[in-house]
Amino acid sequence: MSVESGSAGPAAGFRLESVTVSFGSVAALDAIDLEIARGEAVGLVGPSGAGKTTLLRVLNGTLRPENGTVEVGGVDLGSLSESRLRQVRSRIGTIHQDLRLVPNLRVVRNVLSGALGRTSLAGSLRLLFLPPRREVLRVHELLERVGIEDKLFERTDRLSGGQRQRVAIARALYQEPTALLPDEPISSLDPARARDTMELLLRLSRDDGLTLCASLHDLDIARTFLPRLVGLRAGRIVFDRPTAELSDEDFRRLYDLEGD
Amino acid sequence: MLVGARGLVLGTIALVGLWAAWELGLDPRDLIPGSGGLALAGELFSRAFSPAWTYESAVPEGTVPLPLKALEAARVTVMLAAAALGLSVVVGLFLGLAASTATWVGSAHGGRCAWGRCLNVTSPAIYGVSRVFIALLRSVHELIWAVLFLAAFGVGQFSAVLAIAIPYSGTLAKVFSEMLDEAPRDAAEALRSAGASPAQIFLFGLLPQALPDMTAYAFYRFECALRSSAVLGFFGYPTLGYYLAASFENLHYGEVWTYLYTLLGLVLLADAWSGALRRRLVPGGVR
Repeated sequence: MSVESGSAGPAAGFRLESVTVSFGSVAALDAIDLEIARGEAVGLVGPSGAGKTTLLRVLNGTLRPENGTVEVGGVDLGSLSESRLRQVRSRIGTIHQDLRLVPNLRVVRNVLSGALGRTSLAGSLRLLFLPPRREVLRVHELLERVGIEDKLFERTDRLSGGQRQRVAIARALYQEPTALLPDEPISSLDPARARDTMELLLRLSRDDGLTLCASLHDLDIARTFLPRLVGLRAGRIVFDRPTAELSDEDFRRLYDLEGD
Repeated sequence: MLVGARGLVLGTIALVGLWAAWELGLDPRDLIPGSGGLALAGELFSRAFSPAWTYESAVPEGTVPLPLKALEAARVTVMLAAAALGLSVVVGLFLGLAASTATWVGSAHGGRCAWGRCLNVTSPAIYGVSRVFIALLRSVHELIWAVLFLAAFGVGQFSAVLAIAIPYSGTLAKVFSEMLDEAPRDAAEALRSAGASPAQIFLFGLLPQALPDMTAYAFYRFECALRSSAVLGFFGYPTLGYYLAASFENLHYGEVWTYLYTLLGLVLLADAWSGALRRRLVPGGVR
C-alpha cells in the first residue's frame, strides 16, 4: 500500500511539560511530562479514570490545561489563537471511543466531514452537498484502505459497530493528519477483531508516517502491538518505557487496587 | 413521604380541575339537548352517509357543480395552508436556530478571536430576545389575527396567510429549537476536535441529526394549517369553511358533509404524504 498524493506532511511530535488538568477539585492530570517523537507509536495504559482520555484531549488541542505547556509539532498551543488552534486540531486525527459519527448520514458524508477543519464554510457546504468526484474517489480510496469500500453510500447507522469504527478511522485519515489518536479503539470488539483493528491502525500510521498514540485498557494487546507504553494512574505517569523493558511487576503495580 | 412528587403534581392538577369546574358552575345536565337541538343534530347526522352531489336549492344557471366547487374550495384551502406554512418554516427555522442553545455550542469556546468574543457577548442576548419573541408570536391565536386583519385590511389572501403564519412561525421555532437542543452532541464534539468552526459544527454535526424530526413536525403542522385555513373561511376567506358555514346556515346538511369529507380527504392525503416521508427519513424504518 502506498502513500497517496495529498497525504500528510511530516508527522507531528508532541511535548508536554508539567501539564495539569483538574475537573473541579479532582486532578485529572497532575504535572505530566511526556515526549512523543515524530512517527513514534505509543500506548497509554492504566485503569479507568487514570486520565488517558484527558491526556488525549490535551494532545489534540481540545482541552487547554490550566498549567504547563503543550507543544504539537514544535508549536506551543498555549500561545495560539482559537483559529490557529483549530488548524492544529484539523491535522490531528482523533478516533473517539464512542466514534461520534452522524448516524443518519451516508458513510461518504461522515468521512468528508473530516475535512471541515481545513475548509471554508462555503467550501464545506459544497464538499458535503455536491462533493467533487475527485473527493468521493479519495474517500473510496480511504475506505478501501480500512476495508469497507463497499459501504461508501450506505447510511452510517445501518453499519455494524466494527464497520462504523472503520468509518471513524477513515474520517480521521481524511483530515490528512500528522498523528492518529485512537481512544480505546478496541474496547467494544471481540479479541480477533481487536487484533485486526490494532494491526490496521499500526499499518496506516506506518504507511503514512503518522505519529500514533492510543489509549488501551487491554494490557495484552498493548504489550503485543506497541513498542512503548506509558502507564497512567490517578493522573500521574507511573512508568514510561519501551515495552520490552517492562515487567509483569510494573503492570501489577499499575493496576494494584490497594497502593494509592 | 406519604405521596411522591408525582402524586403531588397529579393531585394538584385534579384539585385545580375540580375548583375550576365548581367556579364555572359546570352541570352535566346542560349537555342534554332540548328537543329542537336534538332534531337538528339528528337531521345533520342523518346526512352523514349521504353527502350532497348537487346543490340542495335552486342555483343560478352556470353555477359550477357542487363537487367542483368543493374541489376549488379545497384548492384555495391547500394554497393558503401551503403559503402560510412555507413562510412559517423559513421564519421558524431562523428563530429556532437563534433560540436553540445548541446553536451556540461551538462558539462557547471561541473566546479568543474577535468574532468569537463578539458572539460570546451577544449570543445570550440573541438567545433571550428570540425566546421572548417566539412566545409573543405564539401567544395570539390565528383566529384572532384573522379577525384583526379582517377589520384592518378586509378579506384578502395575504392577510389570511399572515394570520396563520404568525402563530405557526412561533410554534415551529419553539419546537425546532427544542429538537436542535435534543440532538446528540457527540458528533459535534468530534468535528470540534477535528478543527471545525462553530458554524460547521452546527451545520454538519447537529443539524443533520435534528432534520428528520424537524421535517416530520413541519408536515404535521401542515395538516394543522389545512384545518386552520379551512376554519378561516368562517370569516369570509374563500376556503372550505366559507362554504361549509353558508351551507350550514341554509340548513343544507348534505352540502355540509360534502365539504367536511373534502376536508377529511385533504388531511388524510397530507398524513399519507408525511407518513411516507417519515418512513424514508427515520432510521430503522421500512426501507
